[in-house]
Amino acid sequence: MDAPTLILVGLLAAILLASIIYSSAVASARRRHVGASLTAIDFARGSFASQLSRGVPMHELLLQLVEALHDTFKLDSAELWLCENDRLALAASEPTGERKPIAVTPAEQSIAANARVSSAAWAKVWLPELLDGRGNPSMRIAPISHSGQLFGVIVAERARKAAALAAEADETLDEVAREVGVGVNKARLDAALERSLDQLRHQADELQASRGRLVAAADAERRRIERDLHDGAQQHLVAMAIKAKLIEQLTDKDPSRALQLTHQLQQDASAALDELRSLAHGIYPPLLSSGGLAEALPSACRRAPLTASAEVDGVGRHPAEVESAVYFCCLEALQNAAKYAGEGAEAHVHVWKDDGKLRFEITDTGSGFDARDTGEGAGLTNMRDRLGAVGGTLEIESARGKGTCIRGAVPLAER
Amino acid sequence: MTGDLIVDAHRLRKVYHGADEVEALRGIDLVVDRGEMVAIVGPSGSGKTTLLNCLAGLDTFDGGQVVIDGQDLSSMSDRSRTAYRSRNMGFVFQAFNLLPVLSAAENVEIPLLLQGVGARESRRRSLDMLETLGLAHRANHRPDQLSGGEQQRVAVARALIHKPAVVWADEPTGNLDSEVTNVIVELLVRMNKTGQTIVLVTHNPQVAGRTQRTVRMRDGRIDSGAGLRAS
Repeated sequence: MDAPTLILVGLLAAILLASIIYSSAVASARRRHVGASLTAIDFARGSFASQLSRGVPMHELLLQLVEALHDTFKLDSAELWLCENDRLALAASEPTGERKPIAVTPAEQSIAANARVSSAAWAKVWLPELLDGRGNPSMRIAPISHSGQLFGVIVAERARKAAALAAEADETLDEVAREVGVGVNKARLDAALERSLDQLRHQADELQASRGRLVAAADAERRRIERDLHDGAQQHLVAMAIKAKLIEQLTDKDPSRALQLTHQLQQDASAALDELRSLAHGIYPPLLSSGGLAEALPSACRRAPLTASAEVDGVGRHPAEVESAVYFCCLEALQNAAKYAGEGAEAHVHVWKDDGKLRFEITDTGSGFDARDTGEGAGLTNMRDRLGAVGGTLEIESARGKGTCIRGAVPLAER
Repeated sequence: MTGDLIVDAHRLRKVYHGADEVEALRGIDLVVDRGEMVAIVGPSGSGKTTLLNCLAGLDTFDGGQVVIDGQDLSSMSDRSRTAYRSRNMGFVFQAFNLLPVLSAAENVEIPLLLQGVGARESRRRSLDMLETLGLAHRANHRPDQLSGGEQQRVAVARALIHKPAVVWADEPTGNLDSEVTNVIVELLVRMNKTGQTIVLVTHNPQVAGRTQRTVRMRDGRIDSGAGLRAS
C-alpha cells in the first residue's frame, strides 16, 4: 500500500471509530434517561404496592417515593400531600420541609379528584393556598384519587428556567399518582377493617364478661332465695311445727292456752304465706306472666318506694325473657330513683313500641347526677347485662338539678 | 358597596311588538358594582333573559338608559355596540354555543383574534386559560368530542379570556347534571373572587345561593335586590 492509500484508510477508520463512539454515547445517554424515568414508575408499580402489603410503613414509602420523583425529574422539590378530614397536609417531601395544612371543601376535593395532572395556573383557581410562598416555579400537580375520592396531591416543582417539566413528567406523575391512589385506598380499607375487627373483639370480650356476670348474678340470686327461704318462711314453719307439738301436749292440760296457740298458729301460717308470696313475686311476678307489662308495671309503680306512674302504650305481649328484662330494669330504675333522687322526687315509667323495638324510659324529677363524677354502679351494670342478654341497649341521661332519664330498647323478633 | 358601578340601568323598558304588544321590561332600575356576582331569578316569562340581553347589548330596548363601565349603550349605533360588546363582554349560554368545527383552543381564542391580538399570543393565552380550567388535555378536541361539563368549561374559558368588564351567563348550568353544575358554579365563584364581575340568570336556587346578591323579577319588574346607587 502506498502512503496516500494508507492515509485514506486511516482517515476512514478514524471516522468510523468516531461515529461508533458517538452513537454509543447517545444510546447510553438515552438509556440513562429512560432508566431514570423508569425508577419512579417502577417504584409506584412494583415497590409501592408490594412493600405496603409487606407491612413497610406508609410514611417510609411516601418518603422513598418523593425521593425517586425528585431524582428522576431533577426537581427542586417533590412533595406528597395527603387529604384527611377535609384537610390537605404535607406527608412527605424531598428536600425535607414543612408546610401549613390546607383546608379543602368537599367541592374542591371532588373537582381535584377528577382533575388531570395540572399546572400552577390550575392550582391558583382550585387550590390557591397550595401556592403560598412558592414564587413562580414551573410546577406540576397530580391529584391522587380513587373512585372519585381525593386522597392527596403530588407536587413537582422546578425553577422556571428549567426546561418544560410538563412534557417529561406528566405521564409518569399520572401513573405514579394512580398507583399511590390504589395503595392509599387499600391501606385505608385495611385500617377500616382492623378497626371493625377491634370493635368486634371488644364486643366479644364485653359479651363474655357480661355472660360471666349473668351466671354470677344467677348464682347470687339462688343463694338469696335460699337465704330468704331459710330466714323467712322456714323459720315460721319451724315455729309452727313446735307450736303444733305444744298444742298437742296442752289440749288436755291447758285448753285455753292451747286455743291461744292455735290462734298464733293461724297467724304464723298466714305470715309464712305472705313471705312465700313476696319471695315468689321477686322471682317472677305472677302479674307479669298473666297480664304482661301493661298490668305488671302499673302495679309495680303502686308498690314503689316513691311516687311513680306508669304509661304502657299498647305494647302487647312478648317472650317472657324480653318482658322480664324490661320489667326488672324498670324496677331497678325505680329503686335507684327512690335511693338517689331525693326528697319529694317523682318517677314516671313509659313503655312503647317503635321501629321494631320495645322501648322504655324511666324519668325522675330528682336531683340528677353527673355520670362523669360517679361512674356506673352495680345497678346499672346489672340492667345493661339483663338487656344485653336479649340484644337490648341502655342509655342514661342525667345532669345535676335536671333529674335522670334511663332509656332502653330491646329489638323485637319479626313474627 | 364601593359605589364603583359597572352596570347602571335606569328606567329600562322593552316592548315586544306583535299581534299583541307585550311589555317585557316595565321600567327597570338596576345597578351592579364592579367585582360583584349577581343572580337574576324569577318565574318563566318574568323578563330575566330579556333584561340580560338588553343590559349586555345583545338586544335593543325601547326606553331608559344602560351604562356599562361608563359607556352609554343607548347612545351607540348598532355597529359600535357590537364592537363594544365583543371587546368588553363575555358570554356563557345554556346551550354552550361553541363553534363545532373548531377545537377547544380555537374556540377560546376567538375573542382575542377579534380584538386583533396576534395568532401566536392568542394561542398561548388560550392554552393557559384551558390549563387553568383543567382542560389542557382537551385543547385539540372539537366540541362534539367533549362532555357537556367540558363544553361549558370551554365556554367559560372563552367568556373570560379577554378579561371583559362583565361576564353575562344565561342559565349556564341549565343543561348540566348536579355534579357538573357544582364544578361550573365553583368556577364562576372563583373567577369572581379574582375580581371578575358576573351577572347570571338562573332557575337553580343552589346556583343563586352562591352569588353575593339575588335580583328577583316578576312581570317585567324587579321585586327585590335592585342594588343601591351611591349618589
